[in-house]
Amino acid sequence: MSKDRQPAIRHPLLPAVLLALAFLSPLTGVWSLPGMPWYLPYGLWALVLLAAALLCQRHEP
Amino acid sequence: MSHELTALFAAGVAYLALLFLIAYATESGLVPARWVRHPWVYVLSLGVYATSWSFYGSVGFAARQGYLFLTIYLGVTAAFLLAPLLLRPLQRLVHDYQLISLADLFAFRYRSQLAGALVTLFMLLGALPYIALQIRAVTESLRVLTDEAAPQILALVFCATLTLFAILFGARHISPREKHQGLVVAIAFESLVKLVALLAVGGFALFGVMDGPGGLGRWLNAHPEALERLYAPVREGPWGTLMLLSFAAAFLLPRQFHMIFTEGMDDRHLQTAAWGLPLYLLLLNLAIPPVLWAGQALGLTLDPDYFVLGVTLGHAPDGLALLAFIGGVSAASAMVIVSTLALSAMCLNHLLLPASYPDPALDLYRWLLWGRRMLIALIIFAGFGFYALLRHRQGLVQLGLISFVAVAQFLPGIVGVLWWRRATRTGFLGGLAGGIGVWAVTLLWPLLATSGLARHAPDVAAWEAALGWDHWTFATFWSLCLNGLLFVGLSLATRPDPGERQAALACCSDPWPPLAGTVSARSPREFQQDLGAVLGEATAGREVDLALRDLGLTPDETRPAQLRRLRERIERNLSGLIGPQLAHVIVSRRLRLEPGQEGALADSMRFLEERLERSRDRLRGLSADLDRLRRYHRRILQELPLGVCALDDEGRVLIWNGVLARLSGISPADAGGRALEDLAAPWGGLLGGFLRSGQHHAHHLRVEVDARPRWFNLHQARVADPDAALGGQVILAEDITDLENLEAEIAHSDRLASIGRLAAGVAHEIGNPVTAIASLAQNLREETTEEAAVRASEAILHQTRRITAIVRALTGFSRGGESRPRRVPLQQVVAEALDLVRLTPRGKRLEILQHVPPGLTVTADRQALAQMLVNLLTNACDASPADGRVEIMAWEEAGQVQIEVLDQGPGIAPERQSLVFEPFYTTKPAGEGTGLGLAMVYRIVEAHGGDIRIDSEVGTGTRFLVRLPV
Repeated sequence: MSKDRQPAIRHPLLPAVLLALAFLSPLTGVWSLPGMPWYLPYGLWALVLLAAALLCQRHEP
Repeated sequence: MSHELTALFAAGVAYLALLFLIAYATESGLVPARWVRHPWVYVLSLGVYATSWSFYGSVGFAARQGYLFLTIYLGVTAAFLLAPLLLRPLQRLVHDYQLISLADLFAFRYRSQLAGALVTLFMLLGALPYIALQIRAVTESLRVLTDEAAPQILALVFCATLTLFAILFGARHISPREKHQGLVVAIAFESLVKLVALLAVGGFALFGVMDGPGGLGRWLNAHPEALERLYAPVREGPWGTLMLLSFAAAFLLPRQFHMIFTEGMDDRHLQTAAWGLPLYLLLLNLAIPPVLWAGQALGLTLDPDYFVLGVTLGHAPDGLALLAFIGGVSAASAMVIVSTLALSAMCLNHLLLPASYPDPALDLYRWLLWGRRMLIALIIFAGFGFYALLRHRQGLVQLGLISFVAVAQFLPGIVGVLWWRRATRTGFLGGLAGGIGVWAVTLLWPLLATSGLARHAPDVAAWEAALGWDHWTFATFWSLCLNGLLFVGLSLATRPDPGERQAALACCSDPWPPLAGTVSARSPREFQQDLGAVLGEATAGREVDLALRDLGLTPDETRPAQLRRLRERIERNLSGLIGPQLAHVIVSRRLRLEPGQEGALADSMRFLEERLERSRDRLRGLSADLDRLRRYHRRILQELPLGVCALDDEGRVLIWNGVLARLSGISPADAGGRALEDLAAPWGGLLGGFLRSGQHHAHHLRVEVDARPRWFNLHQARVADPDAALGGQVILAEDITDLENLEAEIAHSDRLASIGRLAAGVAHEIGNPVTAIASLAQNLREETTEEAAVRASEAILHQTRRITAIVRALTGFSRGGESRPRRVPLQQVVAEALDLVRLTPRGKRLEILQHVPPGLTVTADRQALAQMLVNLLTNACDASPADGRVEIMAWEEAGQVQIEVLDQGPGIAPERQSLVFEPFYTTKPAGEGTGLGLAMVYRIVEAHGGDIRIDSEVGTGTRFLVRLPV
């Protein structure tokens, strides 16, 4: 059988779902509560991108 | 104008000159191609998204709306994370159908010139204020840094410089096939400058103003309301609305569409951009809160939109203010350049060309190029006009978001392009008109009214207050709501025409289905003539040649299926030049498809294969297994060590596998769709004749291929299909040439062996009587004095010597197979052979050259080897003219010693080459040769496990190549 390259990312929606979970309500209501550090949204954003970069890597099946 | 202002502006112009240099160096090939084509250059070029709004305005946005400013980048992140579902299909469409703008995309999908024109006008309407905003950002930044209003002449010079750059590096080619690499690298460089400038200012704000992270923490503890002002809008503001708007803007803004799709050099780069661009935006925005708080801590009184510049005034390191200013210039210039290029292409294809198509006598390429350049200048100076007209100072964000709501109106249309085949032209146009109407009433009209350009604006604020909605949510919701409702409602109420249906099929992840019918033009030459009436002769000729080259076809192509493909290809190529709808109209009218002939089965199979290939990534479960099985079967067919040719019911080639392609030199693409008889000789005759014969098998068919004989066994069978959809014939071609050659060699060897045995017997039987005759003749000569008897006895002796020579040759031939091999120095044996040959009358006269390196050894029987060399050299000497030259050379190659003997004789005709190794075959006059010399050479070579080859051309000479094991 063929060994052609295929995207590792079986579910292309996954990184976008992670982003939506982090940045759409109700979670926005949680991380924007008073007392949260100023860099929290950047941290969440970076985590989503890290997950996306890992998921987007291609590999030999 | 003060000295400081002039110096600052000069620095800005110098920076733009640097951009010219970068673009020029790239176009000239001075920048290595691996850098130009690096994925990160593509990612950085997409940073054109960050305009002066991002560079300056984000701080003002954060000051007024807190962390809502992040939504402008989080929406982009969402769009790029969805790249496999959203951007990849669009990229495929844009590349496959040569679409260069969003207007092209919609005109193609909805088969409507009006759609293209409407999109273009709407884009212009949304983009001109945005371009004006960039010009204003540059002049305002000059004012902030020098405390002096910049005269309009500076804005004019800025616009003129950008116009020149856009024309020189963004409109070099008119075809989307040729990318503007200089532009892409320059825009990527601008993105880098923006990032470095903003991070430098952010770093200064954090460490120079706030005393580092610790100092910032202490300041935030002392001013908790500053942090709360950032977080509160996240809970209360239009977070979702703004994310939706920036999601749409990420790929629908003209500049974004242009850089993502039109100038993209490699489709795979989008994969890096899927996380690379969001990462770039994240880094760009890291500096915003520190800069905001630094500005507040410093007590800056200027508009927070310009805090990026404000914090650099005072105690900032030398050059930081200049760097910040250059960053702003780079943000503004990149946006203006790329937006203008995108808009000029739209205006050209959807406004100018439909309104005034050039005379065919003119050079169309030149007309398009200069038309586009003129439009670039017009758009930039229209932006300057807006800048001059907009007296009221709208916030940077205000103008930017109005543009965002405008482009969001294309979202329903995109749904129709990518997923909803039922969407119709009427639905799209109706929805877009509705959305534009709401956008104009809720956003544009109030903007014009506050700028003094319109009166009696509706009281939108009262409507918003009545619903308790914010400004952006209100305008976005109602415009998209009406747009979507009209789009769906009108699409369901109307029926798509055949053209729309076909375009919808092509857009929704399927390649273009094969067309039925026969093209009115019957050859590429007729294509050229028919198109020439509209495009001009030269342009038509070039486009037909280009399409032929794209498809790998020749100018003498006449196959109906290939002509249909050519027609389709020309339409696509023209689409890149003059827009998809105009190209469709021209091709439909000039190259009509006449009904009657159905699409060939070969076309349908190609279409099916393409669909499956494109859909591979999406196949799951049983479908994926079936696809793997299909590919496996296909590979078996391709790699089967037999030629396979499948034919449809009309005798046209469907499958032409790899072996057959190698044997015949006819590629599968070239054979596909042809009738067997139309294939190049001898294949058309061989296969066509066999097919017509009706035999199931034919054996040992001899065919001349490249002037050499080849032998084939052919087999054919009927492919019965119960559904009658895929019937036809299959022919297998078995190449048995090697087997034939082997059999011939074995027969030859057997014949030699038999003759050898016979020769040994004959030599033995003849030798003794001849010796006796010779002795008697000698006695007779010595014992008689009679002159007649002496002459007779000498004649007898002469003839017996001849018989003895023949007997000796026969004995040598019969022993030719016997050998006692050992390592022999070849140069020595060659020298011995040459000494012998030079004793002969011809050998004395001829020039004989030897090139045998010392130390070269061969495993052979020394005597046999010498005999072989003497025979070859003697043969060469006999063949050469009196003043000719004979050469012998040897070398070692791939574990074998190669010995080559060359002569300048008359050569050996191809049909006689196989005979020269036969015993008793000679071309010399009777009595001059035994015909055993080369036969003996053959036996000796064979006995040593080597081989011998002849390379001869009549009139030039002959080369014998002997290969022996080392």
